[in-house]
Amino acid sequence: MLITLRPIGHLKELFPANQEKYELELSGTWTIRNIVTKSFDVDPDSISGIVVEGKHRKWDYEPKSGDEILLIPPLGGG
Amino acid sequence: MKIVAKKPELCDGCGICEETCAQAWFKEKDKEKSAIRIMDNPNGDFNIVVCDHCGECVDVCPVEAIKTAKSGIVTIKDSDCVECYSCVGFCPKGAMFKHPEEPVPFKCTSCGKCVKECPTGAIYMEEV
Amino acid sequence: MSEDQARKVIQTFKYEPKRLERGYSDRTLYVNLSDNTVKAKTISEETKDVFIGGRGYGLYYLWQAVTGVTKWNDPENEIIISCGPIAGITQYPGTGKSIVVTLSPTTGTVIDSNVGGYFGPFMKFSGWDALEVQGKAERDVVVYIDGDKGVVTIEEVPLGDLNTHVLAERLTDYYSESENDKKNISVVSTGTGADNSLMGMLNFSFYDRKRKAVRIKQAGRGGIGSVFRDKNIAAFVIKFSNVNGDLNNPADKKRINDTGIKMHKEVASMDPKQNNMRKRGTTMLTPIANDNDLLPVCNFKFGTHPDAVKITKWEDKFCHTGSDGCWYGCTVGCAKVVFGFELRTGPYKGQKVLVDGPEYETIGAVGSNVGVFDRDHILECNFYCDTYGIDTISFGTGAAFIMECYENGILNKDITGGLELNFGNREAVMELLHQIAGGEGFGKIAGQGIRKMKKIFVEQYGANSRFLEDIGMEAKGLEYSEYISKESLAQQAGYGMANKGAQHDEAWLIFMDTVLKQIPTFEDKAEALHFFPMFRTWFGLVGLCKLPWNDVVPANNADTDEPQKVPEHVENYLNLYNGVTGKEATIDDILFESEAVYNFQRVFNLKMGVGKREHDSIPYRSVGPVTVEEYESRQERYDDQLKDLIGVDPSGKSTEEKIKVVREYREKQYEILVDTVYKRRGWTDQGIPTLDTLKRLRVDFPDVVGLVKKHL
Ligand code: SF4
Repeated sequence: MLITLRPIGHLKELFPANQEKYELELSGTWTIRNIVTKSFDVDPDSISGIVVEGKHRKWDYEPKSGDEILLIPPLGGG
Repeated sequence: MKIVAKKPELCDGCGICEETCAQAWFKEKDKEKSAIRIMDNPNGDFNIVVCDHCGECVDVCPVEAIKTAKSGIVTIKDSDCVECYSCVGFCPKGAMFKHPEEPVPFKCTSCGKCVKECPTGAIYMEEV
Repeated sequence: MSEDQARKVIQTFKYEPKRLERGYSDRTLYVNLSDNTVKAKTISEETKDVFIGGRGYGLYYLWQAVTGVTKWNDPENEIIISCGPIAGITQYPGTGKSIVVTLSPTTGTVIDSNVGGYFGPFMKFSGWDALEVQGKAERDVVVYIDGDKGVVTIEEVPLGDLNTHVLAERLTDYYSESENDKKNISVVSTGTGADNSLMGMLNFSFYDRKRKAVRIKQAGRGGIGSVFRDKNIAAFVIKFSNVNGDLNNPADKKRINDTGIKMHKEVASMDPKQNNMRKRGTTMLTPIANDNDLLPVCNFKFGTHPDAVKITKWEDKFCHTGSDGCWYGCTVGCAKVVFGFELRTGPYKGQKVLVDGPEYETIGAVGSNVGVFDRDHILECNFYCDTYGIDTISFGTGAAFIMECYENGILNKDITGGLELNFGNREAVMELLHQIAGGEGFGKIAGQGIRKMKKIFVEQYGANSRFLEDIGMEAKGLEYSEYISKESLAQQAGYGMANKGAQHDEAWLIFMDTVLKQIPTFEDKAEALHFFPMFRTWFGLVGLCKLPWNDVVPANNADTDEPQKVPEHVENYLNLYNGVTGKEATIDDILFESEAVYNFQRVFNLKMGVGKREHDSIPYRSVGPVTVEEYESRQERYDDQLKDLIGVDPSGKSTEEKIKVVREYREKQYEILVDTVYKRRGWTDQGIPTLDTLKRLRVDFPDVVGLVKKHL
């Protein structure tokens, strides 16, 4: 299955290539936690929220093919 | 300076150091008032928590109530404390303590009393 | 203290310092500078019940003081400082905020501005829930509260330079007995910019023991400093010794302590992995804003700029200590400082000074928005705005507006007295600031704020008024703070509907709206425009800073049901509030408290003639592209929207034609959202709270109802 991972704001810096987004081809079942910690070795503590297609999802959510997963840092704004 | 150093593998968890410390500073037996703590590990052995005078709390204190003496020992001046407990939250070793009955946090001053009473040699004074 | 001979005490008022009970003294200090009355007033249980404290108290007292025709510079206008029941506890980050309330010279209605520093907590510990100052002094005076002895005096003291970096230090020295005593003094002051412009602000000081320096935080918005100087106030000074963690006499100290220690642990472990506020302060927002097309560039035309990377990193400039809080116990500690900065311009040229900041807003306002991408310029401007007592936001947004007018030929060198106010001209920006502060040259006009400038430019220089309405970034007369809202309909309304004018502190919804797409429907947006303004208002009722709420979060935040609300922190706040006051309030209870005050403020706007739908309108620059240049800078985005959202084929159309279609669409969207929000808030389609709403919220006082009825 193909999913897109998008780290927002300074979370980008935690991902190896500092890219806007990552397209991943995954086989088998994956939770978002596994994708973030196993595929990227990123500390989940840095992430304040996860949004998939406009909805909040938790760490054990298993994305479907085509999902775009947004990882959000704490963003209070002013 | 001399600080309390530890060999946790020798500790048998008797808690004499905790009692000694609480008695020395607060004239009480309540181990929650000790500045050295013996923590049970799940595998049956013990973890010894005590200040190593790293100075993190000195930085975080907003009122300079915590100072590093010339000797290198870190101490709190009670009368300057504003009870914000930043130091309790920021101590990387978890060795700054707060007791519900005591407004000011407390920590090891390297007095060495606990070391003298330890029956196993799990704690000792070390020059660093 | 050889100056004692020159010190002239005009009035002395002695009082019994009173211990706080559960966060309150239930007393306010009233000072009238026209007749030198000083007295204590009692706050009734009913007032406390509805208005809670902080902004609530400010609004309550101002409402009693002014009528619908009172002007900002009438003696009846008051400046009220209050912080609320939680303020002054030392165990949790962000618990020392004061709210200042007055009638604003640029909006004509109520302004409220929140500020750190030690004044508010010291005022409470001295026995006062609020300070209310009315009237006008004949000559410059200091109002001095000695909270140790229980004495309030109105005095004339030899002052000299009124600019804050000089005056606050002098007064701190003057009223303290030793170096060690300086920590017990807090000064509220401003500077010459407040004398000579309508964008004056107030600096609240605190003494930084580690750096042995007087530090300041700003009540920036809406010209409060100008009111202060109009009353001939040089400073408020307070002295209170022996701060400890128990002075609020809270109902449940342990609950507060446990909550505080838990939070400090969270900040210690999470902040370095998250926003790193402890090292970067709010500057951490700058790169995010630039990356997401939100950083105002050249009067909000664009949201990003290639040179912005030059102003995004500040850590290396800051002089770090481990405790940069603006009140005790703030481990988030965003109050950053640059040490030994050498000034290149102005009256203090060549001196090495301490600069408090910069914060994100200042970087946007006096940097990117005027097209200057230079950190030293930002520091220079930040320093001078602070010491002159000028709001960096109103100055920067105002200067950006002037620059766009200049580049469009509306202004020229004859009018500006030789200033070449092109975007990017840092010398001209600094010169403009010095002129505003000195009340000289073109600065006299620039210091009036955008709303008044628009009128002047149309009437005197023949400017096209519609163009100025489009590009003049103000709402209700208050200059915009520094976010591009074009792509976020919810944020447009967040700015437009904010009670005080265009400030983002009620609602910051840009990310939820545009990046995360969590609030797609009008109803979703309206719900967010209900919850966030109400919850954020509550911070200002009780004395809290917003930043520790959602600029650092617990490790498991993403696994909660509503991560954007940071549920564990909301729980913490209930623990603090209930721990101090002894209430057992729930989240619904506190939202209700806020909603009452919020609606009261809306009615207050109505009283001052600006509380209707027409006053919630916003400049088109904040909604969509005004000019061809702007449209074409994001052509692909707008063309796609034409096709996908509006159903119009962009091919073959001129940019002007496309702008027109986009505009019609976007303006209509805004109106639909306004309708939806009014409904959600229980207001009429003219934006007036209905009598049922006022009744439900228990603010249906006879004069409120009488006023509202006239408009229904
Ligand atoms: S986060 Fe910053 S503004 Fe808020 S209380 Fe702490 S130091 Fe002050």
